Formats: sequence, structure tokens, C-alpha cells
Amino acid sequence: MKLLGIKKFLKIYYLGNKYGIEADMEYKTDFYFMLIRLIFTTLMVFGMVELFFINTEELNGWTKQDFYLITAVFMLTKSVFELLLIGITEIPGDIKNGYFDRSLLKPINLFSEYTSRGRSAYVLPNVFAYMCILIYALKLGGRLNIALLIYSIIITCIFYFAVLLFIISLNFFANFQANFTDLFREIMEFGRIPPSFYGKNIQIFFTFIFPVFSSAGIVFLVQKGEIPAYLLINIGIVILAFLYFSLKFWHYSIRRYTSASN
Amino acid sequence: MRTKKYFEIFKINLMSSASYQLESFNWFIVASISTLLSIVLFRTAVSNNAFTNYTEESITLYIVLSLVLNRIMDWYFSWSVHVAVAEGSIATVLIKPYKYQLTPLIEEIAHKVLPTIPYFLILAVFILAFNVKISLSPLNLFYGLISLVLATILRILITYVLSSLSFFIVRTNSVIWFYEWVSAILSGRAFPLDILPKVFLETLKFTPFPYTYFFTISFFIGNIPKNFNFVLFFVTQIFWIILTFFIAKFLWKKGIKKYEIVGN
Repeated sequence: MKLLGIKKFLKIYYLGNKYGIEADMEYKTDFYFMLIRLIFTTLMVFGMVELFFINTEELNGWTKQDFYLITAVFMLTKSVFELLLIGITEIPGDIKNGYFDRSLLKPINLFSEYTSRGRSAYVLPNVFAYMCILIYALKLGGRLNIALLIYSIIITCIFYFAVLLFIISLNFFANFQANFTDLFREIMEFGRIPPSFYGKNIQIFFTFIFPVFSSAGIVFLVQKGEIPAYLLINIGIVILAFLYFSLKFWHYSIRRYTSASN
Repeated sequence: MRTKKYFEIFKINLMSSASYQLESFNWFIVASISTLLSIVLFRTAVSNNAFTNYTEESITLYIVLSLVLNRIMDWYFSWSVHVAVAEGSIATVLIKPYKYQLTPLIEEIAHKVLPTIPYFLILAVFILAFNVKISLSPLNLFYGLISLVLATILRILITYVLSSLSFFIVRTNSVIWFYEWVSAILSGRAFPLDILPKVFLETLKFTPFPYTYFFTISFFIGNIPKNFNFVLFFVTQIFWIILTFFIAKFLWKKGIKKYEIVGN
């Protein structure tokens, strides 16, 4: 597989998304409902956080500002991943339906091909909506180290990609009807809630072994001085190990792929 | 004769559901995780006095019951009707010697039966794990069961209204998503409605949403105000059922008349 030049990739990525959004906008009623849902979802975040803090100043040491921040960082990370890399989740469907060959035969890198596929018009406004919540939280007096935020977004996107790639690779061995990518997405939701809400064992597991808290919680634990900053490097190494193992497994699995169709 | 045909449809779909056990197990785990997350969040909030009208036990029971009732009350056949209408496959079924309207419902019932059983197990597991004590009076159980039956009928009819929209709108994905999202919040599936400021619940009483999850679960956990008017509650539930039935019937009839398909 040959790696694409970044310029060519960006062009394909831009065109793929442009056509995806245009296709979504063709169905006007559907498109308007999509926007209404986005507005309501964003308002709901505000509503829920306000509701939790009507009668109390803090929950297990987390203030309203912290809550806004952790929610915004988690959702922002998730939506950045969806914007850039979610296309790979289309691979199992293509394997099942026998379309995977088409992608394999294209003269571009397989991951570039999938990640540049047109996605829903919902994804880009989602990123903006969560950025708005983040800005609001900062205006409320919340504190966030931007370098930590960027580091967290990068390592979390790599982590999501690595685990999803592993799950997708399993489809080369058995024709699963079940969608295990949904199961993984649900597990990632553990990162939405502050780590101190869980028991100690769960905190250790989701911080150092299967670092789900990389999506938001860890940033705040470092900021609050509850864990030393150098542990972020350790978590990054764990995630890179996940990526290495997933890529190895992917290459091994793809060699087993055989297709029989017309 | 017709009943036999419907029974055959049910049987075929039941067998199909039994053959995809891994898929059902996957969804079961997904639902259990999301419930566990809600429990962790709301229990912490209650223990920090964020909501004074719930104890840690009652909020846990509310959330776990909403998971189990979700299997009974929520219906998703509007998706299959949408696909059938959009792709035109409905045309071949419409001319068959049975009513198409009932087919997606029967198919979904068949697909629900087996995967619903483990949810009662998870109810027991969560109750034991969080040490929840249940004090359910026979009268509340009776009201709860009647409310559950009526609420399920109401939600089936609402799903028919949504399904009928497929005849009028080319793509209804976002409409259905929007309904499911709004309904989860306004019906009390995601969280109890009485933790919201009072004015919200009073306003919501003019919509069909709280007559599904919120009140039904409140009966089961015994969280009903002393001056609660049961007669008015059931009359309102029946009113929404009748109204939704006529809307669904009207839209479906209009939709079928309007529907046109060209092809082989």
C-alpha cells in the first residue's frame, strides 16, 4: 500500500465530505430535523449540568465549571474522531457485502480511502457545538491547559482508532452479525463521567490498562494535581502499544481475506 | 385463516432472532453499560444532595426499571417501514393476503421475546449489587401493570404515526432519531421527570410522554404523591391512545393512497 501525499489526501477528504454534506442537504426535512436535534442536544448538555448543580455546589469535588469542561472535552474529542477517522467503521459492512475488494483495488491507501468517505452533515456542526460549550465553561471560570487538551485529543483519537481497528479485523475471521464497534463506543462513555465517581479499581483500569479516561478525565486529574503529569506519557505509550498491536493484527487478518463474488 | 398467517410470520422471525444470539448479547451489554453509567452518575448526585426527592436506592431502581421497560415499551419498526417504503419492497407485501400494517409489529414482537429475558436477570443483578430494597404494594403493582399495558399500546401507536411519515417524506432518519431522542428525555426514560423544576412536569402533563415511562415506573417504585388522581391518569392515558390511533389510521390510509412505485 502506498501512502498518499497529504495534499492529495486533503483534496479527496474535502471532496468526499463536500459530496456527503450535499447529499444530506438534498433531503430538506431530514436535514432540518438533523439541525434541530443538534441544537437540542447542545441545549440538553447545558440543562443537565445546571440541573445537577441546582441544590449543590459540587459533586465528589467536581464543580459546575469542571463538569462543563469534562463534558465538553469528552464530546469534542469524540466528535473530532468522528470527523477524521470514523469512516473505518464502514469496513465490516463492506466485508460482509463483498464491496471491500473495490477499496482494496483503488490506487490509494486503504485507511485514507475510508477516512475520506463522505460523512453525515451532522458531524462538523457537532464539533462547533462542543467547542461552544468549552468556551462557555472557560468563561464561567473553568481552567484548562490547552497543551494538555491537544495531547488528550490526539492520544484518544489514536486509542479509538487502535481499538476499532482491532475489532474490525475480527470480521476477517468470522461473519459477525453483531456490531461490536457499538459496544466499544458505549465503553468509551465511561470517560464522560469524572473518574472519582467510580471505585478505585475501575479508576486504575480505565486510566492505565484500558485508558478510556484519556478522553477527558486524565487531563483534569493532572490539572488538579491528583496524578503526576509524567503519567500522561505512560498512558501515551500504552496507547501506542495498542496501535502497534492492532496494526500487526490488521495486517495479519487482511492476508486471510478472500473474496468470492461476481 | 389470517391468524395462522400472522403466527407463521411470528414463528419465522422468532427462529431468526434465536439464530443471532451474539447480536442480542451485544445489545444487552451495550444497554447494561449505559444503565450502569446512569446509575453511577445519579447515585453520586443523590449522595451529594443534588436531588432531594430521591434516595440512592429509589434512583437506582428507577434507572434499572427504565432499562427493562424500554425492552417492553419501545418499538423501532418505523425503521423497517421506512426502508420498505423507500426501497419499494412494500409494494410486493401490500398485495399479499394479510394486512401489512401488522407485519412489522409482529416481526418486532418475535425479535423481542428471547432477547428480553436476560433484561430481567440484569434487573435482579443490579438490585442485588446495589442492595436495593423493594417495597411494592399490591395496589401499586396493579396500577403499574395496567399503566404498562396502556403505555405500551400508546408507544406502538406513536411508532405507527412515525412509520406513516415514510409515505410523505423521502428520508425520515433524522425525524425518527429526533423523536427517539426527545421521547427518551420527555418520557422519563433517561431520568425521572420530578427532578426537573415543577413547571416542566406540569407542562409535560399536556403531552403523551410522561404517561409512558415516568408514571409507570413511579407506580412500581411507589413514588406517587398522596393526592394523586388515578382515575384522571388512566382516562388521560386512554385519551392519548384513542387520539393517536385515529391519527395513525388517518396518516396510514392517506399515505398508502399517495404512495406510488415504478419498477419491476
